[in-house]
Order: sequence, then structure tokens, then C-alpha cells
Amino acid sequence: MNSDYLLTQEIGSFRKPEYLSRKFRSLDENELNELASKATFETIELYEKAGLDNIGVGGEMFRWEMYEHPIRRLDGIIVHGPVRSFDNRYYNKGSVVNKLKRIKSFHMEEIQLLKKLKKKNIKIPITGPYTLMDWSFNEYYRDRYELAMEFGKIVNQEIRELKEFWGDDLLQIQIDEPAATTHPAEMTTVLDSINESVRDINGIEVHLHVCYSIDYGLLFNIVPDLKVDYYNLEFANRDSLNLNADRIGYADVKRFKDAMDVTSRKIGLGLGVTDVHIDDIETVDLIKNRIEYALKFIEPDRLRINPDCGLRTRSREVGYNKLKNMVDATREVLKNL
Amino acid sequence: MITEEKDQFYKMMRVNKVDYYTDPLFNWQDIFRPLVASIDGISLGPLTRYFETNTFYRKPIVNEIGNVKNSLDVDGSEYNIPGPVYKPNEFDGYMTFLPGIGTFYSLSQVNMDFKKFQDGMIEVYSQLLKIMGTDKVFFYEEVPKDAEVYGSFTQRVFLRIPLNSKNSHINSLKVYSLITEDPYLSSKYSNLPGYFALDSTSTKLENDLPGELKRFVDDFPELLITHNNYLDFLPRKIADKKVELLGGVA
Repeated sequence: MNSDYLLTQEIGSFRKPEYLSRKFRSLDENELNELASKATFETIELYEKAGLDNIGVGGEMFRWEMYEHPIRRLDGIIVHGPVRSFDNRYYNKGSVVNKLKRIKSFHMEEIQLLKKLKKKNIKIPITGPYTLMDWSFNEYYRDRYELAMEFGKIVNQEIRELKEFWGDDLLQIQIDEPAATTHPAEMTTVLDSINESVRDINGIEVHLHVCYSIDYGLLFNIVPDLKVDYYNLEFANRDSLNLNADRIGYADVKRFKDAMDVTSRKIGLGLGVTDVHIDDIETVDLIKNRIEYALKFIEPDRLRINPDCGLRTRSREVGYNKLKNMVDATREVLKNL
Repeated sequence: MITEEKDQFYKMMRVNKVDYYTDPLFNWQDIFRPLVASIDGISLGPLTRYFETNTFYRKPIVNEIGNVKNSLDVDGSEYNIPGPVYKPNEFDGYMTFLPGIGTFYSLSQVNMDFKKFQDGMIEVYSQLLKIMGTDKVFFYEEVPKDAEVYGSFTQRVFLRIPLNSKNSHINSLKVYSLITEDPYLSSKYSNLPGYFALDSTSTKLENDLPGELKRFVDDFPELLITHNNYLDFLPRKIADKKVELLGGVA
């Protein structure tokens, strides 16, 4: 059996331990570095105990959340306060009021720590340019396209710097674009800004994470032109928890296969098999069923297995149990390949 | 805490002399959820993106439309903040907020045709308004499918619809106040035309609002001015300033 079959991975965030989350905003840089490093060690331990093939960056312990983390490292954007994203969760939405400039690396601390730990099986999530644009108020740039392209240049600087630090080994980068299909009329902006983010950077495997899309077809239409190798998508949220139900939530796997077939680039799918917004722990049998459904369309060396999205909204215990069942189910499927 | 915050909100409305307002919905996790919990036959589905925004809602699954539960209290299940759906304010400007029937239908998984759904929702909304005992109702309609139906409610109806929506059938619509981006059109269908004067998707403040509105002074003896969407999409600091701007016009 090929060792690249059905690799398991996480998507990014994981619930922070309380010693970190309670103090996060009041810590100075050194204190944050110390506690976030400790939390990263502990989360990697959990991931390894669950049996994940790829440990990401150990749960994004250095980041408060995916939007605020990068924009706090930019000049030209100010934050007036939080706005709602879903349920009773809020994020600090910035207003772009001047030309944007990156004043500090977004994720250098994480990659330095992972390199020091000699971890090779990592994947660095970076918030994508289109989402950074869509989640900001634009009070400076001519239009949304221009702002997205400016974010694209900034993300490109970031990835280039991380890759230079990482050295010759292949580096997996995951561009997080939850907003990618929010505005159907702007798919050209999505395409151009993501491609700008990775333009002329060699030695990276590019993943794109999109979730809670109204229509993945919008994304699949631009797949042939996107410089992306893996598409890590959410499916479990829209599926039934009933083992015997039709796998209605996975109908788009077939559509992804169609997009693969017209793409010259070798691409693959990261299959979301656990819902990150419910505490129910999907059983091993249910997850196996979801993977086996996807294998009807996607070859096992092009299929990776992951949660729908980051697990930060679940407790660490629930998050661990979801990952453990995900790995166990994958291993059972592998036995029959 | 939510009750205290709601009281503060109502105080802000009065201080700024805002004539009409709804419950601020601080305990509504989306515009359907407390209602879904209060109406028999409707349940919560998957987390779903709300139109072209970065906000999400639990998609209502409508198998049948039963009765409204009398208490209008939401229990503390996983998906809901416990507590009363509304905290009415005793002042005259209070309106009961309801999601528009077309919007409810379009954003739900409905296992019946639109006409049956609409008839069922008119019935449960009428029950709900009776329980509430308020004489004014605000319908938030983003996807008007049959807007004329709002003329059938006995309460004073304030209807918010974007005119750029498709399928907005308003030929013989008559409501107390129609709120749109075009006050001239609104005036054809309502006694009190309403106008989206503030942008709830931008942190830019409309500091020259009185100057901007002068062009309407000769044409409208009364004009209801408001924002074009929820202020939930703005940081609270900016939202409060926009409320002050509204009051400043008066």
C-alpha cells in the first residue's frame, strides 16, 4: 500500500488551554511566546496521540483568531471593535484606512518553534487575501479587487519569508479562504488574489481551505486556473449523522472529481469528515462510510482526511475524540485498500 | 445581563429621540433561531452562510407549521441562548421584529409549497403578535416573494425590503410604512415612506446626513429614515454613532 494514501491532517485551530486563553490579550510578547509554545507542545502531543499524519502548526496557539492575527501586524488598518460572525461569536473587524504595509511576520514564531522541534509533517494555515479583503471595511482602496490584490502581495511576502526560513524541504501552506464563494460575482478576484499569494514561490505544496460555501461549484469552476494542489473542504456539517442515510453532504465530491478531470495540475481533496460545530462525536463507522463514499470518486493518493474546519469551538476533549475517531476510521479503511 | 443590555439599548433610543425601534435581538443567535424554537413543526438544520456575508445561521427545517408556544421563552439547548424571545419596551415606538415570510422561506429547507408555507406563517405570526400585544410590527424582508400579503395584518406594518430584490411583487401593496432605498417609490405604497439613509456595511460615518436629506424636505412632510441593514454588521462603537446621527437629523 502506498504511504501517501489517505493522509490524515487537521485544518488549523484547536481550543486553547485555559491558562493561555484567559490571559491571551493581556500577555506581553515574551509571556505569550512562552505560554503559546507550551500550549503548542501539548496540542502536538494530543495530535500525535490521536495518530494524525500531519500536525499543522499545533493548533494555532499563537493566534487569537485567523483574521485579527494578521491584521494586527499591518499598517493601514484600524479596528473599531467586534462584529458578529455566527452564534454569539464575534471578531474584531478592521477598517482599511490607508495603504497597507506588513510590519511584522504573521507566523514566524510558529515555524521557528516547529523547526526547533524537528517536526517535518507540518502545514501552515495562512488567512487568504480574498477573505482578508472581504472581512475588512474598505475605506481606502479604489475597489474590492484592488484591496484583495494588495492583500495578495502581503500574503506572498509572508509565505516567501516562511519558505526561506524553512529551507529546502517541501513546505505545506494552507491558504484559508472561508469567504471564497461568498460573492458569486467576485470569483475572478478570488482567483487572481490567491494566485498572487503564491506567485513565483517554489518548494511549497499549496492547500486551499474553504468552508460553509453556498455553492462549491463556484470554486470548482476556477480550479483549472488556481495554483493550488489540495482543496480542504467542509462536508460533514451538511451530512446526516445517520450511518445508513444517503451521504447527501458529500454530493459535491463527485463535482470535485469532475473539476479534477479537466485540470492539468495534479490536485487532491482534503475531505471534511467531522462537524466542528457540534459536540456529537461521529462514530468510526460513520466516518469510514464517508471516506468510502469519497473513494468511489477520488483515488486514495489524492484524498486526505480532515475535520471540516478548525476545532477551536469544541473543547479539547471533544476535539481530541473527533480526531481520534477520524484516524481510527481512516486506518480501518486503509486495511481494505 | 441581556436584559440590562436591552434596557440600555432602549435608553439610547430615547436619548437619541429615535421614533421607532425593535428589540435589539441581543439573545438571538440568528434571525430565525428563537422563532424556530417557539413554533411547533420547525427544527434547526446545518450552519449555513447568511446571504453574501460572513455571518451564519442554522437553516430552519420546516416539515409543518404548528402553533406558537405561549411562553415565547427559549430554553437553553445547545443552539439557543435561554430567555424570552422579546423584551418589549413600554414606549410607543416599540415594534415587534419578525423575519419576512419570503426571507424565511428562501433561507429554510421547506417541505411544502410556498403558498402553504405563507398561509401557515401568517397564522403563526398573527398568534405571536397577539401574545406580544403590540400594535406595531416590523418585517425584515430581504427576499420578498409576495410582499402584498403584509397588507393583511391588523397591526401597523413597517416593511423593510430592498428594491433590488428579485420577485418583489408590490403592485397593490399597502402598508403603514415601506422602507426602501427609494422614498419616492415607498410613498406610493405607504403612509410613511421610509428611506435607507445610513449604510450599515461601512464604518464611514454619514456626517453630513442632514445636508444629504435636504433634497427630500420639499417632497415629504414625513420621512422615516433608517439604516439599510442590521447594525450587527458594524462594531458597536460605530453603530452607536450611527444611531446618534439618526437622532441628530430630528
